[in-house]
Amino acid sequence: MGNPLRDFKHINAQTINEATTILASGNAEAIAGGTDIVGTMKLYLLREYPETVVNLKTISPSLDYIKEEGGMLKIGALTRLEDIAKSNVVQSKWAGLAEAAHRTASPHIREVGTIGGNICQLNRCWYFRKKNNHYDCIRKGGNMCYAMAGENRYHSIFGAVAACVAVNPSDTAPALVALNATIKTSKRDIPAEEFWAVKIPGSTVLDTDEIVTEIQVPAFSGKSAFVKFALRSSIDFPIVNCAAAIDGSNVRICLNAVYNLPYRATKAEEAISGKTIDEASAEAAGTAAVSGAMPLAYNKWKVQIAKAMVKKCLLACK
Amino acid sequence: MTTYYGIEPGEKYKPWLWPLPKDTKYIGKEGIYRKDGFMKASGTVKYCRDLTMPGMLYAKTMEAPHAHCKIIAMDTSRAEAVPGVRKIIRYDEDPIWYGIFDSFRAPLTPMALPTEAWFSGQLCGATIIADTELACEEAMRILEKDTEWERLPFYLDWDEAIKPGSTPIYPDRELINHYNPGRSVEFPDFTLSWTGFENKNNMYGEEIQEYGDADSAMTEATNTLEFSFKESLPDTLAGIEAQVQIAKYIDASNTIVETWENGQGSNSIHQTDGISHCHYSGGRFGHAFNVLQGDLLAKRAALETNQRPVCHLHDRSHFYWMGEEFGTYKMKVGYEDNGKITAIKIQNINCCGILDPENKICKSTGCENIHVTKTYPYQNIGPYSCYRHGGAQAAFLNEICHRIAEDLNMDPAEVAMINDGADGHSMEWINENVKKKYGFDATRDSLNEVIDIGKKAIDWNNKWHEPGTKLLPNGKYHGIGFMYCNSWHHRADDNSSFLKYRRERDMWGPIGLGVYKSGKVFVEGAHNEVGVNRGTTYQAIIADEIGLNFDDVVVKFIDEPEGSRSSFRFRGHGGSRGLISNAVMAIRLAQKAKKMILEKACKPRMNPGGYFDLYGYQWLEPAFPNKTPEELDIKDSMVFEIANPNNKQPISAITTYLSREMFVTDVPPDLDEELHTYPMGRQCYFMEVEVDPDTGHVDVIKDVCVYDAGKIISPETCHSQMIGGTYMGYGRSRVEEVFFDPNDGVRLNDDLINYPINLIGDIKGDIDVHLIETGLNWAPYGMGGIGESPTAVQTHITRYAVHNAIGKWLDEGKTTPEYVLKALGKV
Repeated sequence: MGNPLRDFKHINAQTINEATTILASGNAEAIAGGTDIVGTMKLYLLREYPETVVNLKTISPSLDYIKEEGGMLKIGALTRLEDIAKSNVVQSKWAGLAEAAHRTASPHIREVGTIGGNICQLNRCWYFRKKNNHYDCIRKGGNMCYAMAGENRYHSIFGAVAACVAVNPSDTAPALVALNATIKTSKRDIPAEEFWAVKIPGSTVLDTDEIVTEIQVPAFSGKSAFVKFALRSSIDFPIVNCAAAIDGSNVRICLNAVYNLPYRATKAEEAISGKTIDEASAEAAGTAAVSGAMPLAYNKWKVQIAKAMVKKCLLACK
Repeated sequence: MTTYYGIEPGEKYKPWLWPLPKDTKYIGKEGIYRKDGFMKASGTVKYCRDLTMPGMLYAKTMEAPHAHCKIIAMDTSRAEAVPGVRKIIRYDEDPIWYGIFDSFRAPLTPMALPTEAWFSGQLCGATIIADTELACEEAMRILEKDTEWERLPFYLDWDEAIKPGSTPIYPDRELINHYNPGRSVEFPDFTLSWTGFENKNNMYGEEIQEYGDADSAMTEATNTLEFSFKESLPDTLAGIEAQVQIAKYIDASNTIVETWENGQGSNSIHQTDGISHCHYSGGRFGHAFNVLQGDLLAKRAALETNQRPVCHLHDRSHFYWMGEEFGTYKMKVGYEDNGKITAIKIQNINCCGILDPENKICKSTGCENIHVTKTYPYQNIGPYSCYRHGGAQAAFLNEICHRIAEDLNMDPAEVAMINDGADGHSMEWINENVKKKYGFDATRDSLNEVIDIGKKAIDWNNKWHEPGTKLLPNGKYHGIGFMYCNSWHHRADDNSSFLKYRRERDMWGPIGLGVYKSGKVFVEGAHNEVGVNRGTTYQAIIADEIGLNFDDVVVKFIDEPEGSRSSFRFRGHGGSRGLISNAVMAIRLAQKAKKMILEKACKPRMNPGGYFDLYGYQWLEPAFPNKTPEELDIKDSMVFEIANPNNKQPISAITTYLSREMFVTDVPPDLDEELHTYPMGRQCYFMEVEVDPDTGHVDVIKDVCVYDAGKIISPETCHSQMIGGTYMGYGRSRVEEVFFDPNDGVRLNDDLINYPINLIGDIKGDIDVHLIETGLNWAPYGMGGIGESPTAVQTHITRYAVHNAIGKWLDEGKTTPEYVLKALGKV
């Protein structure tokens, strides 16, 4: 529902350079589909309310595309999630990513939300998201994490980053990590695994004047899968999700919504590497994945879920 | 010849014997166009929040930032300086007094802007009036920073609150409650005694209800069982539509107020003079009390605006209201080897005074010996509201059946049937002494019929197994659950106090019916809109009762002048109760109107000019000369001679000569005071699930709903009600939970992203609906309600399905993955 919006400048950027210049000027936010930024503004979540919102959808040439070039999948940052989910080429060669896009949110949101927005979205911690900045937490420049000693049943099971136990809520993020994607920005190319960070208040390594322009996923001839656990399959953010990409002996498994950053389950990868995937080996990998878990007071049950998701994801790659 | 039931002096009032009109075209038929359907589906309907009026101002009220806190100081100067702010009404300026703030979790407070808040989100402190909503918001953000609060002790969990040595939440508060301490009252079937406490371990009272002699019967029982469960994390009646109240004084002396609101009752403003409009309210279960405080704040704000309307806005829907059904329930039951229940004792620690744990037990079994103890604790989580009401009550009934079934290795549906009855009598007794005596079809046995249909539909005989014994090839546990209850709202006079008020004052009836010169029939009454298909349903009843074409009946929901008591008003809230009560009135009005039309058809008609000539009136011969009303009837809006159907004329041929519309009013009598209306209709549900032992996730494979509605008026509405009720019902235990910060008691998931209500996409399997019509209700045509119960009764069906799947009882009423994993020992 939210509160009425304060006035702000809305600028339709015509080029990437124009967009980043506006963002560099300070107190400006980018808008693509708007499914995160508008809610953030309406609820006055952050200390600062943007004076300017710069529309990326009007950038030319458009950043909305899916193409395969030289075996590599290239997705423009403004590509809608539903288009990725339905893309034949993504479904056939990068199935885990297609499934991740398909399982994000609801059909209505997928028709509007973009992959760039999905990987850049702010965290969903209910303390962070309380309207009017009710909890001025550490991710907003405050001095404490309220979830640490509070109600943390959906929070990190692998400890804190910069004293914060919120989790990364993206569904596409673990798929991009598992598929060893590269995030191309207006300034640089960043391996997906290095893209996310704990910032105030952001969730990526992007500079203020930097936007994602393209996602590049290398050629992949193996099997990939994505599974998600949520209370409601129709719309919810993940409680735990997991993506895996197995190409011969090369195994990459990434959990998400279990830590502040997408969590590469390296112990699970070691446990399954070279083995035939079956119930027993997948179960063992799941156990390995959570062997370093440090659950909080209310989220021990998430450890079991994470273990189960790794198992299910590997079995889906069988 | 049409017979008119119950409207002639000396006639026995037996509405349940009123048969359907002959040749019904609309009652019970599918394909009747829903009059409000297009508006709602197309988004063109106006909700309260859509309304704008010339000169309208906006208001918002502060919400308490913590559970249990008190204002120490408030500096409004910076907030007042925000451009557009007109006035800030402070808590200490002018206390707004009103009757009750209906919470059984806190001491009653008489003020709309209290200084002390008992739960986070409570409206308190200050109301800001401004030119725009944005100005209100900006000012409120500043005012919240400029208000100093004292944090006070609070408890979110009642078991913690009442522990010996707990910190008193309200040490200085005098006991205020609805009952006098030490009172004991004898009712025909039970005794009720009340003991009030004075802050004894944060409890404010204990109530005991005793039916028969449960202690003796328990001692004599062949078998006894004790068990308990807790509904610890409440749900809420959150809806899509945020609250809003608009108020405007229409006189310079500020005594008559016009209001608009999205409440469930059109009578929520019943303490003041005015006109109330009750707009469409979208997707919210409700109770009139929900809007009471906001409504009063809107009117208070309107006093400051020189007759300009003020729109009092809330950011959210009713998230701070909680259900009344959560608590800790300990039960002991005595029973025989055949599953017959002989004694029940329930100890109930629950915050709400309207939860009667034994209610559905009494209405659905013949158990004669029940002892209920209700302990009321203080708690800081928000007031209760009656919505999806009856879920816990149905759970007590079914918990007992399932526990006995498990102990005796019986089918729980068999236990249900063995115990079928009502109000201390078996169904065999009711068949002989009630059904036969009062004209019901004694060959109909509602529970047997619904269970039989349901079992076949879900293939129960092949699928039911002992708990925890069926692991599927996909690694999940298969389970099948069953719940049953009486169908509720079964009396024709469910609004008896409302009618009694009018009868005693010799007032006109609650609903007005007019037969207009055009021959069309208008039915008028104030009415709230909660999303059920009432208008079309009443239209169908009246059209069939009179013999009109469907579109010749117009149901007008009007606004309500001069307060709720004197105006035309449909029975307000309550889906089931509303239809039954209003249908009685609609039928009687229709029959009266038909009689008047047929009488007019046999009388001379005044000449169209309606003027006197020099020698008197000019009259035309009757439409049906030399005929009596008994020789006539109406069909397809045509009056016709029964013996010669080709002798017919449109109703307008009679009514066009009326000098003015015929107005019909009626106040139905109550049912006989001595009459005991045993609930005889039943409903049951079956659910097939697969439980993932790795995640605790419960997939619903199939849900079978079987409901005895007595007589169905609108099949599509009944069918939809069952579907919607299923979603909302088991979603309540499967996904819905409210969470609070343990450190300051703030509600954390008070929005529709974080408060997960079941959506259509969350149900994987079929919902198979079966509706039967036994006519076993005490209302016209034998109809009963079908409003609230599908969702209320199915609240706990996943509990029984999950128990059958995993072979373990969950400690909680909820069946979220966390609790299932706990029961499996995985957490």
